[in-house]
Amino acid sequence: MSNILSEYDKVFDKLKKEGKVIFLEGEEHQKRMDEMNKRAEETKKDYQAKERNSLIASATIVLR
Amino acid sequence: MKKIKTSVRRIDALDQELSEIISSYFHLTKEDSDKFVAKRFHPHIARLKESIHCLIEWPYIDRVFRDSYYNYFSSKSTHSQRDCIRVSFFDQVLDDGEDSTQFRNKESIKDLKKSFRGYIVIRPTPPFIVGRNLISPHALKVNSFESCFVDSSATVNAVKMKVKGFPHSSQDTETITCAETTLWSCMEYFGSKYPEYKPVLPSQIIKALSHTAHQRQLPSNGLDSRQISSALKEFGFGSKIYDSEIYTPERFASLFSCYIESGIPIIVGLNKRIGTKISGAPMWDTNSTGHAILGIGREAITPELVDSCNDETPLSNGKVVIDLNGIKKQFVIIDDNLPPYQLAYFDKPCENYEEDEWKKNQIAYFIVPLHTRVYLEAYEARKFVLDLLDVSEAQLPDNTTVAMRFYLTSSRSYKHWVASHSDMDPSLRSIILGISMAKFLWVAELGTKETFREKKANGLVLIDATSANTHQLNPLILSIHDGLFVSYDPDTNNILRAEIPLSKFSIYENNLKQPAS
Repeated sequence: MSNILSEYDKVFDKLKKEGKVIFLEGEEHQKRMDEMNKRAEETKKDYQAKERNSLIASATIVLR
Repeated sequence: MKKIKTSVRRIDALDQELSEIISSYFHLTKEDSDKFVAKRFHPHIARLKESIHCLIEWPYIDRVFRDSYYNYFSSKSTHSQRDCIRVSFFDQVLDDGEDSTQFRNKESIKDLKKSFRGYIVIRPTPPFIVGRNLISPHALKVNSFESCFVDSSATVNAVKMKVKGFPHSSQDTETITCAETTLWSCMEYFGSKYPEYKPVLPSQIIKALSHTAHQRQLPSNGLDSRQISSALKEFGFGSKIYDSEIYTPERFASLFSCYIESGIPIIVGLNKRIGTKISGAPMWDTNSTGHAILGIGREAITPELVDSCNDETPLSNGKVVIDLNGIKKQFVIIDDNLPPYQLAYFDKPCENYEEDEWKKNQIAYFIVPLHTRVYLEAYEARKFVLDLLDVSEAQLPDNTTVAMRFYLTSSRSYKHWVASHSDMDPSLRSIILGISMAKFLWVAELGTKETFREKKANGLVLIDATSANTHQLNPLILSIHDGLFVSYDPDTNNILRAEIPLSKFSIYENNLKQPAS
């Protein structure tokens, strides 16, 4: 079988052997993720309102 | 059968010769012809180098004017001329002798091709005689800017030439007003550059809008933002509108800058500002008509401009992000009332006009012709990055200030840059090149004002621009700064953190091109 190469694996295999990689789990990680999700939701709502209002406000000006 | 005629002039003797040809060929009085050349044509050549020589050819069949002619002008009893005149520019001496073989000799043709600097079509639509044109920024006396450019071909005196520039035309006020001209120019750029799009003619713009039109479309009465956005949708884009009343002035300007930095020509709606509302939003003169222009680039970013940036966003625990899109700089503008490549500040887009009334115009809104696959637009993407740097596993250390350069690009172009140009650390380089990515990326390059003065960054966040779902860090491709790497592990789909030291690397400079490149 030919030797399959992955540039990504080469780097991470070495980092894992050196103990420089950790997978993020647990309460602290979940807390951070929840805060990111909350902010993402707020941003989405904020942008959707801005998008709708931009469409309305800009439509009053005719360009010629 | 018609005879083709040519005439050669140095740029300083062009006006007189062209006026005589226009007068005779378009059947205008010499006085009128002189007036139109002085007012409408001369400003275009006044900005060109003195070393430029010009070749005038007529009759010239221009595809854009022919389209307007057959769809509108031919139905008028007062209009019979359907051919144009074309002026081509060369940065070398052109032989003007009757026996010249300059355009018929293999060796001299090579030189002509190298020195070709573009063309201007002269239309028989007085007084608005300047039609389709494409001028190389190399022909300009001053060209210290970075912009979107496209390759264009032209057959001059039977010889095929190529030139790089941005398509421009003035409006004829009947078939194309500023709105249609801006759409045409935008589509000419995208259609010539990317296989997904096609250049459009004035009649195709009218046709694209015919199903939503409630009145006759010709003569044109201009277009509003919904019509422009709708036409862009017909032409294959997923456009987004940003209005000045809805965003804070700082964010509105920085969103515009972000898209310019992404190498996307932006359609801009201007209107006369007469005051400010209590909310701080601009107040527009509702009796005036607006004007459309295109933003296509910006002045070169100097270390002094980097130092001057004060668009700071405070995050928690003393963290601060300085958004370099907030640098106050001049943008490159395509305005159908003025020659191409005007430079103007965001808050004074009409400062190059002579008339004071025009100078009152400000940016009311802008429309970004985004690729249909860019589901995550700039406002949300930027906020995602700021939140990531504030509260996620990829957060900045407390009490640190970072400068951020934020833009959109294609993953193909970014990877090509990383593979072929970048002085990035080999580990990060291998990771970026080893990950399968979506078609478009939002890129946040992180550093300090000092690193960006040297055009270097020392941190990076890559975001999937095709990810509309921002939950669970979905758009995150990778984040690396201060030796801390955070990403999804492609094998387990868990978030991983790794220690990867990163030294300074060159910033990505591929979205906007310098005239020299």
